Amino acid sequence: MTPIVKIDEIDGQILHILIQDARTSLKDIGKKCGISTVTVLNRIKRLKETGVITGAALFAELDVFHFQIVASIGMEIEASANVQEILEFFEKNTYLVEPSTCIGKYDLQAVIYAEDIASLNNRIEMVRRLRGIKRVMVSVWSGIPYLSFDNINFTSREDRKRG
Amino acid sequence: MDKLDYLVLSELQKDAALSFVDIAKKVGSTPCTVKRRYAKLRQEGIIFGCIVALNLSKLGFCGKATLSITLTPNSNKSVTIEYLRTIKNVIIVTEIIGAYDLMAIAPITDLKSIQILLEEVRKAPNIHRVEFSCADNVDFPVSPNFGTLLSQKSKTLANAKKSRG
Repeated sequence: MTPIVKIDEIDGQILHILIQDARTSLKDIGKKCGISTVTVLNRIKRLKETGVITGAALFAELDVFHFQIVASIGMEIEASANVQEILEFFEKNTYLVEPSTCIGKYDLQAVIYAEDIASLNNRIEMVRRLRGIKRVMVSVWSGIPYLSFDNINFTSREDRKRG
Repeated sequence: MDKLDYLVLSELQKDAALSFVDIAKKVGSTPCTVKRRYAKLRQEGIIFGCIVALNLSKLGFCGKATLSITLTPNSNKSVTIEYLRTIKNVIIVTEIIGAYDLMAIAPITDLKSIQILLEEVRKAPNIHRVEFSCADNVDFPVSPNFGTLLSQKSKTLANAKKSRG
């Protein structure tokens, strides 16, 4: 298991500010946390060096990319399936995002982006034809998804250990 | 949206924290222009989130739980959605078309946290059935390939547009 990077309350606060806007200036973060800009810089540097912060993601209206459809797919695989081979296919196929192995109802899952129903169908068909895939289950996201990324509690694990 | 808008979006999809100076270099424009374009895209709501990407495994999380939820017949979806959004660590709630009604995603730390999450979700109004599956995906908020996909798509769309001079 990956060694856990210890973070304190101020690190948690910085992460929450960066979740709201990853482009927040060091000065503003310092002000909000009541610490100096240099301290902020050092803390962020440490979080990057230890691999906690890996980059920053942009969320934009999918319409401007001409994507109309987002769908989650869950897959059941044959006992003999080569999981590595399937995951490699997913890595290469950029329309399939977030591929991962899974415990529970499905063995693998991924998210598909598509311009329209026809392209969604094509992409799912491609997955269905892969060797080792037994069943593909599609759930199309409808409406606007509710994203609340700052709802995550980074220090809960520590709390429980103490409690 | 013109060519430059798409080029700026393409760079930001690769790294949303890239400085305006670096973006300007890559798209062949000036930092000032790029900054203005970014502000415009943000103001128009085209860009609505710029979120730090984390490796949750470093913070003690072991994966993301996907909850597929079936609601009781004739019930109001929005009440359940509102409730689910308040549950700790639930980061995405969406309505879906298919075999289920709603889907919720939450990072988890261990077995105990799965149990707590499921208990909380079952307390939500109008829940008929909850199915659970847990992915060993620790990228927050989304995997880097999400950015790769949209960055490539922006580039394609940029190339399809004529430059506005």
